[in-house]
Amino acid sequence: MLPHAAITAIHHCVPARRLTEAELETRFGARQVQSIAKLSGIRERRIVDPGMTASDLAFAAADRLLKGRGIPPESIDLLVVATQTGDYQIPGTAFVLHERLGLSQRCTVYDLNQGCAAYPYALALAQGLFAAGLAKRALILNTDALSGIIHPLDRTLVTLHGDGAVATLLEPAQSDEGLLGFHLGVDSSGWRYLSMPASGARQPRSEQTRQENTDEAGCVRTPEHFQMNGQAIFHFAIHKVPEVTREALTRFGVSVADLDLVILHQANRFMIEQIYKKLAVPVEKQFFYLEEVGNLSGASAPAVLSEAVRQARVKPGAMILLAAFGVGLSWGLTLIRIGPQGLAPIAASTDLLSVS
Amino acid sequence: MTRNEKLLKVQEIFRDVLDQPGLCISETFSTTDCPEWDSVATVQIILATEAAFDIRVPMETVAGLHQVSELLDLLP
Repeated sequence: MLPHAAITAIHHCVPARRLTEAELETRFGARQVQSIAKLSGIRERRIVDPGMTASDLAFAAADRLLKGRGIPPESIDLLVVATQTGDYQIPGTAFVLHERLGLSQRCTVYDLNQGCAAYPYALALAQGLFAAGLAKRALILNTDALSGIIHPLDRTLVTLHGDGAVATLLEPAQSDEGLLGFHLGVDSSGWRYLSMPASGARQPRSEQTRQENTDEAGCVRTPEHFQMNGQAIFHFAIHKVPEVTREALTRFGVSVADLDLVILHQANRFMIEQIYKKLAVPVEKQFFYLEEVGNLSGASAPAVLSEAVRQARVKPGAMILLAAFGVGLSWGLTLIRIGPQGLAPIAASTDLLSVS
Repeated sequence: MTRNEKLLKVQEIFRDVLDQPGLCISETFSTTDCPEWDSVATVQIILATEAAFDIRVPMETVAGLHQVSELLDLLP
């Protein structure tokens, strides 16, 4: 068996600032907010204050994890940063965090712009480098702060999204634990349904792209803001995720009965419940983490795992299936077996009050 | 099933999803005629229609669905 990686520590971080229903009702009206909340299951979101970025959240999560585990930063030989809301277009945020975390010059860095499915993709990348003998201790940082690229009057997105980051430590797996398999794919015919049109070379920003448009539902945005065709994305998720999850289970040679936990990207509660139902996942193998933080985009799926660890829902030897999906439109699934020693939570706050 | 029969079956779905038992729809009934027909309702209408007619609505149709006739055109 090729060398492979295991998750040996995980910690997440969200901004301290809460965006409450009361605040949103003032902005959008009570009926609209309550209607969305009924389906989304999201009552509160955490969003960054001006001046705080996704990389600040990632730094806090990583710094607390390393200190909590007593891991010397110079021992990290691979850093993967997955974000859609980096500090700069050039350079990638991984370089910025490499310096800030005090990592070694021998540490390889990668930036990944993958969206909500980023976690399995980042783990798969790291797994490949472990197998190639190019990494032995990796830090995977999934972080997004979409609140900065969503128009404040876009009701369909503001009500759903929060900001957050997750740090995952990977080390060589012992025996049959670790990252046991991956199932990755994309239906690129739908990439336009989750996009930010004026954000790069294809449509450069201009006076024209700063003009606000109001759609027939009353949502305001400009081409410079993140946009989602909610009905297309919902339909994609409801149909595609169960389909590819069944494919993944066959590929991995396991069934739902073999799993201890099935973790899904937390887009909204109704969607997750529909997917669980289609896959016949029993309640005791489900886990939700969105009511008080919102959809954390690329940080969502690992944040669920991290929160499950904090709530002692991840036992030693647990078998976990994690599925994430979104921008692209892509999906990624991974099968994880926790080692016999288990995963202890990091004894640090998950809130970030201010940028240090 | 005639197109009118399909319309009546779809009408039941609209009444249920929009919680308007007396609602009457025509082929030209659209999102602009009904504020409650938002993106969330669209998804629920499509899922219920797919189940009722045993079909899968293409993603591009889902993305742009605004009028009842667009749905009827897909029904077997």
